[in-house]
Amino acid sequence: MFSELATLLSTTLTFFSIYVMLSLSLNLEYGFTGIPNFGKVFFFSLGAYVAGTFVPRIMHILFRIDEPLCSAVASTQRILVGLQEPITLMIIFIASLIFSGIVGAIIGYMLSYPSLKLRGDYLAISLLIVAELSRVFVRTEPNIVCGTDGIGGIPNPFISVGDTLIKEVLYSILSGVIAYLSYFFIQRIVNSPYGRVIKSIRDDELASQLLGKDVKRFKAEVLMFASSISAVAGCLYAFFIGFVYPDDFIIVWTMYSWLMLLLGGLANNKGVVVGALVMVIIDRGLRRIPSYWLSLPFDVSYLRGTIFMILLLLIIMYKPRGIFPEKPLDTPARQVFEAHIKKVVNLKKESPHQ
Amino acid sequence: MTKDHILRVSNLYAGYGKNVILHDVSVLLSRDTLTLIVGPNGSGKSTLAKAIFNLASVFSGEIIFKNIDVTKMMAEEKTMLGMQMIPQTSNVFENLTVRENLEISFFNTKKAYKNKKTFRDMLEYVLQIFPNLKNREYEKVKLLSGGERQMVALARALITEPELIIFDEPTAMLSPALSNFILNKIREINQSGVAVMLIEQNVKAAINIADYLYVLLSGRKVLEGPSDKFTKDFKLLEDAFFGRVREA
Amino acid sequence: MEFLQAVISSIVTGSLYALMAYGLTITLGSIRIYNWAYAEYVTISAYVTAVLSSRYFINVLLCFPISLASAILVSILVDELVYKPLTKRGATIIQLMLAGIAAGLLVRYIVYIFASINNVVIIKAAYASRTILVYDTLVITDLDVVAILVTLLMMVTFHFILLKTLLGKQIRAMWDNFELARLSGVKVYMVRRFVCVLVGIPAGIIGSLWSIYSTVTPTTGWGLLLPAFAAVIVGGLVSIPGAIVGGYLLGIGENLLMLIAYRVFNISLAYKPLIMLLIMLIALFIRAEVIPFKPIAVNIYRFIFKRGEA
Repeated sequence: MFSELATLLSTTLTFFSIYVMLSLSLNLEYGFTGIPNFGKVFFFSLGAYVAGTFVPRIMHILFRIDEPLCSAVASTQRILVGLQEPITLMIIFIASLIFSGIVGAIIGYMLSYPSLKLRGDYLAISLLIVAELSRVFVRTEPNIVCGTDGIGGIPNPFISVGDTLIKEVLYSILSGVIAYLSYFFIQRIVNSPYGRVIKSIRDDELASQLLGKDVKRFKAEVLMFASSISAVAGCLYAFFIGFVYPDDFIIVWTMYSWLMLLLGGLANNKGVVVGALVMVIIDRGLRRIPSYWLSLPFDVSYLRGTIFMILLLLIIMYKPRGIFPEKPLDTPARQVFEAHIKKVVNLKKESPHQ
Repeated sequence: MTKDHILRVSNLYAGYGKNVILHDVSVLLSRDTLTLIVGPNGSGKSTLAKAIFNLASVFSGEIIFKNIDVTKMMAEEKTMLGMQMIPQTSNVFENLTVRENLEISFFNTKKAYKNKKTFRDMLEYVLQIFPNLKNREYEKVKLLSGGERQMVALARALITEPELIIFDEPTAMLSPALSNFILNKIREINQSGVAVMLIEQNVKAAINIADYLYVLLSGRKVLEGPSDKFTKDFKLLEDAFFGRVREA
Repeated sequence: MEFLQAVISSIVTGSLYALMAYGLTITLGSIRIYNWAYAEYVTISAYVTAVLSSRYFINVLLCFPISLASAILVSILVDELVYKPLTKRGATIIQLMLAGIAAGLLVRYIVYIFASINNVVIIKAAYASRTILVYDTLVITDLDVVAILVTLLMMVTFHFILLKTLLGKQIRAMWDNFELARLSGVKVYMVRRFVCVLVGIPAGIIGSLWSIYSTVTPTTGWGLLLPAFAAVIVGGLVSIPGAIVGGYLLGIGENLLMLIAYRVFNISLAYKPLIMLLIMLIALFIRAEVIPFKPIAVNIYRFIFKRGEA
């Protein structure tokens, strides 16, 4: 019973970290800068594809595995090797995290380049199309992550610990730390002069351009940061699941990120973390409960999707800026200003003339 | 409301979203007068026009047109009753031809005898008023000059044979000569029996053609009266513009 | 001969994409919505045709109007329940896009649920297309001919409706200036409903044709919508001629260019989606004037898509 609960908690924590990274990076893009990124899943999948291509190949070279890359034998062998060589595996894991971050940053920057010169809508649609068509491509191309079958045998970096429970707990703590780091990073960005610039871009692009800010550069950089964070999340996901399967990365991930963002509130990082928590609890809960109590004639994931989409539609309809939207910064200037407004209002109430 | 009052706006509170811009504005329009609404920038003149057409949100108050309460009606229904408005900017369909602009207006107002023949007759009539538009019926409006566009906008309203037209700063961005031309046309329209509500910033030019005048200041009506009272005592208007309201 | 076959399939898929892109552009222009739920209109009509003809043995020709009606119904329902309330609340175009994708996914999940309950997740219409012309290895089926003819007919009809009828003029008036359209007495919500019907028709036709041509799954419409939206981007978002040219370009890219790449450079057929992506990205890069072959290419491009600047 205890071990079951611990597994559940650690799985929840891992998914929570991944969700937090996705929704926070989307918040950085849309909530703070106003870039509508509908290709979140693309940057997420980039990290997973990096893990799926880089890790098995490097293991085959380092440990001289002769089996074909995609075979089941090879994936078992990779896991066995991972059991024997914990330090090398850890180095590979860290290297692929960094590498996926770099790849995400580069591709995010490249894709932003043409679209940012045009209207915002172009970016939204083109990223969505890039995400979907690239998934179709990776699925049909056998040389990236073994096509439709996906590639297995990506060993968990803590596999050599032996006990499954401890392995999962350790991994969840590690991903929690990475998620916290990205939270910290984004908080630092948005509460700095840089953050004020991107907020000004969101509120009035022309005005910030007139103040001498290079709007395109800022937007491209924000996309770069956010894509890099989502790619790291994808890499974490791949190592957690243990295989990379292209059909995992459908548009639903993007929609979930948006749902978490709106559950929290635009430009409110703490709220978004709460949104991710709510989401992961509903998500994990719905995955668990029906297997005990319900017997549905269809896949439970359809029911889950239906519920989430109805939730998303309701939020867009009634709380379009999220449940806990951004509050104005509490600066001294604002306090003085508000005190003044209060005074004026009181005066108006007193004077019978108005 | 007497019989010759065509539009009555009483105690109107209106604005955008949750912001209240107009406070307690009452306006009365007679059938054969040209009513001028003036006021400095941001005094809520355009909001008044939009609120009358339900394009801004109306919080309270009443708008009565020909003894029908039209406060809650949608803009497209109001045009059916014979109200027309010419907004300040983008008041023509740029990517459509002149003829199409007129057609859309003509066939969307309720008259029993709408058909191609009556449209041709009305087109003839409108082109007589604006001879510059002759032979340019099939040109796209975006190829026309600023003055010609304004004429298309006026023609678009006139072709429906309305009973009330609201002009929102029709002379903005026009040369003085063209402004005078347009203002004279508006006067002619009014004399042909159409009630006109004219919103203008160029008070000196417009006051000469107006019969009655309202002054708005930051969303409130501060002054009203027949226009000759103000032509005699222009200081009265100047004071109103700068917020010094005397009891008239 | 192989290339001729590729040319024919380029035209067929190109016309399908162009027709879909046409529908999307009309919605985008007149009611300002990136209609991502459009995919599900196609899926629903494909399912209706497939299920009716293979389970209830109704003649495909009879299924046609029923599936058309169902596509129109879904189109109106999505507009009434999602887009219209949001527009009335003053939603931004990005919120509408998000709502469109969510509504589409919702419909798709419902289709999934019903299809798995009734065991029809993968299904095909009970109609074997007949070959009407065989020359060497070149095969032309009646489906090819019908697809090309119907799409051309639809586009011509649409063009006629938009340019000549009062309703089309009203749609273009809304396209141009929504507020002024209301002030001119255009019954915008009625015209909006008509636009929904108008874009539901091609969705219904494409869905039925697809269910005859290939198997139907809940993601059928989505797979077709992506190239159609890519075509809209190639054409410059709100230009109808641009969308049509974009649709045919993607059709050519997917079939003819792919075949050339396969035969000449020995590139795997898996690169089909990548070629479509490439066409879209090149169009984006040219439009953003990042690619520096201005003197020739941009002038040609501008010449074709003069109306696309928005």
